[in-house]
Amino acid sequence: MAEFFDTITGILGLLTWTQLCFLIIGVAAGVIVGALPGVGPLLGVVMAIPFTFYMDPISSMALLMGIYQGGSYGGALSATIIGIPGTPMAAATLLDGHPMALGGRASFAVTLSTIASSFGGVLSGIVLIAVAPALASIAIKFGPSEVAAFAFLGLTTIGALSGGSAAKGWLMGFLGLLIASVGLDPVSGASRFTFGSVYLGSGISLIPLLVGLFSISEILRQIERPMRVHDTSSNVSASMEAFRTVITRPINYIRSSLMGVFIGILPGIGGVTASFLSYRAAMVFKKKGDPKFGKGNPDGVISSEAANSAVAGGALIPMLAMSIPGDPIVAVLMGGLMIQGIQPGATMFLNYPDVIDGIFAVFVLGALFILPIGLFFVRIIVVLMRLPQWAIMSVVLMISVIGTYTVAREIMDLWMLLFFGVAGYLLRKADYPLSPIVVGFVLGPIFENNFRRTGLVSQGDIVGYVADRPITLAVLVVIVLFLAFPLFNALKRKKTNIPI
Amino acid sequence: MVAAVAALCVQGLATTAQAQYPEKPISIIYPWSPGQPFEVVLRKLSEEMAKELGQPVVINTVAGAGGKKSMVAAANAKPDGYTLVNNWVAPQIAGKLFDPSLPYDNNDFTPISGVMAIPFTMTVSKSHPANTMLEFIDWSKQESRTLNFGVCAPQSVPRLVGEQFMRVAGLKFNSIPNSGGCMSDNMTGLLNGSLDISVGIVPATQIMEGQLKHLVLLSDSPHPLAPDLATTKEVGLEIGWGSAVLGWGGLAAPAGTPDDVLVKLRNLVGRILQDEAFLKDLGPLRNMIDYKTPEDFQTLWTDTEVLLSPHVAVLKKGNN
Repeated sequence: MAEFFDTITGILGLLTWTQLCFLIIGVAAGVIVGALPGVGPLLGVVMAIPFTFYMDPISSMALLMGIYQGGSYGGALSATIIGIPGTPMAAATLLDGHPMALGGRASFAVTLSTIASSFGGVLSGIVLIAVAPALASIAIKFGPSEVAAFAFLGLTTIGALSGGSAAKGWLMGFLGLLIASVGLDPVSGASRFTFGSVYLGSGISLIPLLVGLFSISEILRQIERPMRVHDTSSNVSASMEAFRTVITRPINYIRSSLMGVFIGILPGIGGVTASFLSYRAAMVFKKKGDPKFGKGNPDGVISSEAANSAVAGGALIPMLAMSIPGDPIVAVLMGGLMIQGIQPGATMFLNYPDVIDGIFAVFVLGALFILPIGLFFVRIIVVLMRLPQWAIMSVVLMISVIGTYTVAREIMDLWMLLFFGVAGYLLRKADYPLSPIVVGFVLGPIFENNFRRTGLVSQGDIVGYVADRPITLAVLVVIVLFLAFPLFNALKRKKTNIPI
Repeated sequence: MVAAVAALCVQGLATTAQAQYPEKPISIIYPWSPGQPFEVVLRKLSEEMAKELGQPVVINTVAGAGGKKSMVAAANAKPDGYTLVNNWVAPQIAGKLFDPSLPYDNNDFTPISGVMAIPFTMTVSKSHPANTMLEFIDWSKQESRTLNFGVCAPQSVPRLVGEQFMRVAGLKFNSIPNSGGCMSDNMTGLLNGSLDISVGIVPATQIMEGQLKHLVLLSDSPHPLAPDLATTKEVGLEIGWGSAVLGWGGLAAPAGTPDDVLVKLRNLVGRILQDEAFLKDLGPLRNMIDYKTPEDFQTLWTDTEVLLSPHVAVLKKGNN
């Protein structure tokens, strides 16, 4: 154990001032791209890659990983303050963060997200340092059936996300699945619902869907009935209260972070699943006396933010140890290493131990930096909130359109943005929840691809195949419990005649 | 009089414009998502081009639909030499064979040069008992079951080449495509045993060195990317298209690009790709470079089409 702490304190001293500087730039830039609707950490990392060509490997990783970490957190700021998730995983943070801000506790809500993100990041960094090579072997145990089961588990959170009516939630979840089915069939490669269009051949893009549903529809609704976030408490007391949650709710912080790390390790499942699953777990362990989930429960914000920041550390594990990139951002990071002439994988630990240590140091420091840098942005945002609502919303509209266009520079994406904006507005009017659409849309293809691969790999005998796979079976049991729990509760309520 | 002067001016402008090509930045449409080694090669090439041309050469990523979006964008671009495309076999030939209704064909593009060639291999997990292709075939005979065969994306070139090899080798196989391409899913599939064997793209699979074994290079001649690997000829299982490396990518311009512009670009790219200093600068990636003259490159387009079309037909028939 002493040796472990030596490693940690030792590697923090490894970074030069230049590297630290790039890390700070990276985190700050990441927070901005994460907060801007549409842009997101993936695009941020991609845009930064050319700058890294002439850097040393650790500076390059400091910049890229800073953007990754900052970006995973930044989405929470826009989700909380304007009700528009900057990244898909912040859609879970929005569920409680935004109501909290609308209720006059904006500072508290964003400070809480910042602390949770930083905590999740640091914890996942520690896991990364302590057990990276050992955990990497878990990643390869995950075949298609395990990934399919996890994606399905993620899908089961839909019913719980719908606030009032579970039926409406499921309806929206299925809508997300349906939208995701546009594009090429993952197994036969045949076109589905593309109407011969090459644009639709790559499916509906996530960014116009997300930004349209949340951002454009929110702007339309604001035109109709301005509703703004405000802050009745002073900054200082809000911060104090937010910091106090670390002591009063340590289990939620730790549980959510560990769930994030674990899901991060599994290739191809990703941040959205981590956020929503950990949110769902927080619902199971709801504290008495807390506000309802969806109405500003602090555990909702903590669980989502701690988990999605912790995903980053988890996702680095299979990349560094086995050169398996578990998510698109990590794939770009891997490209960044290869540009430096470094092959990620087991040999990297032997050939470039200094780079490995540098990456570890960068990761932990990056997560720590989220706290001061995030709180700095929180102050700015609190000041910006005093601007007139029309000014804020016009800028949001501008950024949403530009951000969406920047991703693929595709005019059709803007039409999609408009379409989903109007659709989102109508759905909001009819009181349908929007986040199940995101969950269905993101997890549907992961589930479909892996479920069908399971079918192919098992050569038709799915049941026999799954019966031999304990991890899959365990996840299936959890799914049954998740689905049965609300049903069981409903039955109980019926028996005792308590109105629902 | 005024008209005459105006006409003169316009003509003057036009000639200076041609004389001074390029007078604004050139963009190269690049079809794949970021983070691939091809992009590094292309970026280095574009930097060299920019040095000589005195104008920036920008990489414009138009990813999506297996690269087909990039081909559509290039086919619709103005043929003035300011838009080029990094054309790859997958969207240009295979994609078109699978879906003849795509709004482009070979005639929409003019070759500048072949730039890269990526060979395919057959790959198994390090822990697999077989160490050579022939041992693998013996092993599969003893197993006497249908093998799970990982094939990259459903309509990909490695799938077509790999399935042809499996047929030639007389192996009973069950193809398992994945939409994520050749990397992650195939590799983890081999490591966790859900796949018995998979086809792979050489630079991608080499990253996994130490965890995977390459059994055979799917070509009759050795390739600089994998010089020690047994070829199909050496294992006595020729797939019928000789030494052709079908995983090619290069530079093309939209059809109708002025000849003087093409000549300038062809000479320049040819010179860079054969320049020892440039190749040295690429490090290990230099082995991906396979310079082809415009004529050879264009012949490769038609040859590839002829070679792949029967296999696409087999696959299409199987799906219906």
